[in-house]
Amino acid sequence: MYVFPTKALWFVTHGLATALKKFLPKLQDHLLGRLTGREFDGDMHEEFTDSDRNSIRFVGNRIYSVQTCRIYYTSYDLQRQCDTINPSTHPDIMLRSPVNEEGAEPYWYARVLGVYHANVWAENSVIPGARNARCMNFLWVRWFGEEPGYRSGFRRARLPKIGFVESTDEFAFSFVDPANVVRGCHLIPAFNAGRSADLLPWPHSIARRLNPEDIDDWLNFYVNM
Amino acid sequence: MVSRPKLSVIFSLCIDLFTLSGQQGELAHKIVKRLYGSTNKRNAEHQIAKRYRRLERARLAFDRKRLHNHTKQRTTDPEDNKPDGDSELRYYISPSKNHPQDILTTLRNNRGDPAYHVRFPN
Repeated sequence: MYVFPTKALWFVTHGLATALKKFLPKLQDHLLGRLTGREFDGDMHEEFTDSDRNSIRFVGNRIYSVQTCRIYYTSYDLQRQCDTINPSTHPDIMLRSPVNEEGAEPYWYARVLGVYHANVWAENSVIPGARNARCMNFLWVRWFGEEPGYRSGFRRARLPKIGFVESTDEFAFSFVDPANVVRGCHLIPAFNAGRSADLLPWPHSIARRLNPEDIDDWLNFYVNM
Repeated sequence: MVSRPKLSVIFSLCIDLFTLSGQQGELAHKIVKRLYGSTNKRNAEHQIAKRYRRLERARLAFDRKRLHNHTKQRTTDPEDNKPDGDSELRYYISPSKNHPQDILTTLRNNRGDPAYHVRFPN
């Protein structure tokens, strides 16, 4: 939850230009993180400068959108299975959480808004072979967060409960390397909590690709398992 | 009626072609003789010429194929030869470029959508 004065202060100190945290800088952060070989941490860091970001170049200034992404995983009977992620039909994924603290949720959940690939090169001396254009795949996701104060697990006989991160949060949307996705997941809306447009106050956002007619979201979801 | 002189014209033409491609005149003679045997002796020059062109095209096609296979072998990447059952493969995304998106145009067309532009409360 927000403590408003801190945010306002942040807004004043960083100025309007950087406060408009956009699609492109996020993508550049993500690709820079991957090219410099950093471990997956949800791209929640601010150490890249604008010149770092601008060193990432897209061939033709383009990214290519595709319909689906197949995620391979090993099933419990040691067979190879795949989940097909499609932003318009089966968009929910789970990832291994990089947080290793005691009591932390082992997985992160997200809804895929787009599957993309792009030919990328970089003008950066830190990255080996930066000038060679390479094809990189990435998923654009809207993150779910844990429901605060809710305990789940076998002992309590409760499913994990999650909800969308508010769109005003800086980390509501970001990019994910498909190789970090564990598999798809099945989410059940928590019907008693109802719906709300507060999490994303924009009627026909791309973030509602699953149900384009919707103007609000379910407040919470249970993770089926 | 078949007229021998005309046949010799074709023969000399073939000789020219073969000497150009560095083959023996003797061989050309044999080909024309063989082709003459397979005509029905009516308008034989025409039939020989047709068959001869067919053989020539086949030879060129064969050369092209051999060249193509040769260059393909050289340019094949070891990455392309991965078997389908690659156990290290974590995911698959189609390399299709049918839906390109210009990044800046996409951003401009979705102005105001919080998914693209985060607005902080004020």
